[in-house]
Amino acid sequence: MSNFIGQTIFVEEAHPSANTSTAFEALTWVKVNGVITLPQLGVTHSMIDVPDLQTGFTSAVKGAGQGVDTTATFREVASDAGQGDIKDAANSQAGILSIKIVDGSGAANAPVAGDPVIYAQGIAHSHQPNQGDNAAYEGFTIGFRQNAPTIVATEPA
Amino acid sequence: MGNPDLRKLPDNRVKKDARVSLTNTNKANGAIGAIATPLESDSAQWLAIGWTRTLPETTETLTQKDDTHE
Repeated sequence: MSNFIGQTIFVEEAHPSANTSTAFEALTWVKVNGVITLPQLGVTHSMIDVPDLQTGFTSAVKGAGQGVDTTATFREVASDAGQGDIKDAANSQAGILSIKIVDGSGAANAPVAGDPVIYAQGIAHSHQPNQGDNAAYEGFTIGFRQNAPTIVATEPA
Repeated sequence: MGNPDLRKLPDNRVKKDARVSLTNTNKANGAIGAIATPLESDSAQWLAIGWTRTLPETTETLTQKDDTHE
């Protein structure tokens, strides 16, 4: 059993040509510093209810899947290129964003060849700076709606 | 040094597929100007959806004269 401490997130304001690890590896990734909560990736499936009058029991068959709509939170890091990119994507008209989460084993958790990597593509939206009060820190949340299944891979050489 | 027999083996290492630099020109793919570096063997699928080969810097740009020293 392990925790998530040390994991880092990278983004790119573009989608890969295909939802494959090879295509994701081709993107130019920028680290987003100050991450507090990583986005929760995955899919949800709708269920199609099939009633039966005789038995009075409604069973289900599996329906279409869709990517989850999740939130990532960050503390404000001044002049951070990655934070700039993720905010730009969330505030843009299309919100196109790809995400890479790495459990890096290098210095300062830098990705090293063979480290576990998760890729996802989707739409960034709903950039919301934290509400200020005397118990809050400066930061923001970003919404991310996943548009294709998660790709589990390893950091390339 | 080493085993002399091994030195006679043919070099059968597979050549690594080179990466090429592509620039996004289609906003449906994301930010215009985004750079991707797919393998040459995968580049066709990127080029088909609006990525183009990144142009190298021109010689003129690299050798531009600095007027402040004249």
